[in-house]
Amino acid sequence: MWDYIQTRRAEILFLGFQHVSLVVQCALLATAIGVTVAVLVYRDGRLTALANGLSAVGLTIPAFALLGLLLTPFGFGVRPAVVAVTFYAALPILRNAVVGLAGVDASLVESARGIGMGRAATLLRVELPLAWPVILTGVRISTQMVMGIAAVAAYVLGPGLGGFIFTGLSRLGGANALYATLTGTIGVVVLAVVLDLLLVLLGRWTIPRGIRV
Amino acid sequence: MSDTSTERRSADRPKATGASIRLEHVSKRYPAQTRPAVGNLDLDVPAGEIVMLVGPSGCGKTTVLKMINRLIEPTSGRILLDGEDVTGKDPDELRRRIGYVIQAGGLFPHMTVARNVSLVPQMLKWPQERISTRVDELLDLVGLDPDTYRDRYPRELSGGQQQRVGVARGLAADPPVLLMDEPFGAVDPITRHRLQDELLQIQDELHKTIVIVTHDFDEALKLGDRIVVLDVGARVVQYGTPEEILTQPAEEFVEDFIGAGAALKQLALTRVADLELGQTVTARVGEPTADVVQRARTAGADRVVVLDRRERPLRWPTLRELERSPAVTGEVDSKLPTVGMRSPVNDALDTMLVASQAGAIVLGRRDRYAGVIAFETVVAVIARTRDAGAAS
Repeated sequence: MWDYIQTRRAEILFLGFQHVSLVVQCALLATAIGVTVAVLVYRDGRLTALANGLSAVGLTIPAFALLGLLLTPFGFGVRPAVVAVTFYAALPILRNAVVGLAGVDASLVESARGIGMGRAATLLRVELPLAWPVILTGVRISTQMVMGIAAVAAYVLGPGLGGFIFTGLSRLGGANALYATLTGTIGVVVLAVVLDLLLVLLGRWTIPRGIRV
Repeated sequence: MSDTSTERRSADRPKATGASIRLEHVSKRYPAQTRPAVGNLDLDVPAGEIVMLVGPSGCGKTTVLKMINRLIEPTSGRILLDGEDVTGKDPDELRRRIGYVIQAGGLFPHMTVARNVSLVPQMLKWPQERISTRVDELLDLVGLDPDTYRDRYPRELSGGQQQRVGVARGLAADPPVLLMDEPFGAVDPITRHRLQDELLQIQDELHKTIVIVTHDFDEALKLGDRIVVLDVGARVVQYGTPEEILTQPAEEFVEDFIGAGAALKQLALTRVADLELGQTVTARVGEPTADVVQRARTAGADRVVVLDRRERPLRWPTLRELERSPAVTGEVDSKLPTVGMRSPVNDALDTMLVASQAGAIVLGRRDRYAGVIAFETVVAVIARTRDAGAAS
């Protein structure tokens, strides 16, 4: 196994980088989408219920099936991978952002309005910063989850470590097949742990001391 | 005896910096309710006075308060600030001209004390330098040392301190009007008395127009220049000075609200400042004990009040306690019985009983030492008040 890794070092590093890059970019996009949608719905009880329902149902769609369905409009390659990974990543973020925003103490919102902050300022300076720890937890859950889903994206010839896994599985019993699968799998797990640590650090940086737990 | 005190208080008062508030035929109806939350209310709040809105829960007092800064939009009627109709103004701009303080201060937990206080000046685009100066000035005004508290977060403060910062934030842009919604509801009784005293000291300096919602009638008596007693639907049952309300309750409703012991409640109408204050020997931190003791013996005092650099009392030791160290030390007695100049006499009595002391130290502006009040003086007032109550 060690030899296998040694001989393919450059390829593993490159695909690992691609994997993380896909996940990080999709997570950023998903955060933007999830938070925006949450901001649009959190004031309305029915819309909130709808959003929560959709995110619950969305997460039950098998990744494999969704990727297959995306082949028709997007073809093979990066595009269906990005769409699928972003879709899954957005769901927990949306859910947490709604919970976070709804959890902001109503008296603080009223206090903000009462001292003359407009709607937008209240949202940007009071509600979102106070909801941020919960949103960031959603981002962490999402990133962990889509590290795995990004691996499945290799099925539609997307970028990343999934390639090793699929190659290995398709040639199971052949030379190095097990090593390839293991390399892909362990690589994904290691990168997921590293990424999570980075997100914990991001939390340390961005959550003010006043609301850190 | 007490009907002179309000007149004296308002006569002493320099020109108000506050603005008058006028509510004309103001109503608030909610779609799902048959009775209006506020029905056709007329109210005049004179500039520079503290007006208390008091009434049972659900009477609409908070709704009235929030209609002044239009957190709740009136269904009909007009609201005038210093004669200017503000009913059609931009609500955000209006609110920057009206301080707003809620229970527990409503501080934003993710911002430091300084950031919280500077929010309104920032929105008004004051230059940064002026904002920093203003923040320090305000923290000083509410009795918090700027260097210690500026960079703290709200959760690092006690309830009373949070409330003080809330008041500082409300006053940040020097608004003519301050609205307070049950401001002292979330703190323990002793802290509440202190905060009330401090508010009166601040008002003594600033003369804002302050409208306060409370369900605590004693608080209304203590703080209010005028009291509005409200019943369901924000019906004004009586609007008058504390004296008027106690001595001539307009309806049975008001009598019920005042509760039993109206005679003793009149104690609340006599302020510490109306009584004769005693003077005692004071000492500075660091002074040689021998000098202080000598001074005290000459004056015939058996205790001295130790003051800090800013004339605030720290402790009130006996000469024997003082003689334990060669120079006067600056430790703080957290149970020091203190009472504000504008506190009612019953507060002074409370303070003495809680501290088991036969006297209390009287504080002037910015908590500076103003004198002492003896237990006997208070007892004499009680006796007189009771006799007057029995006679009437």
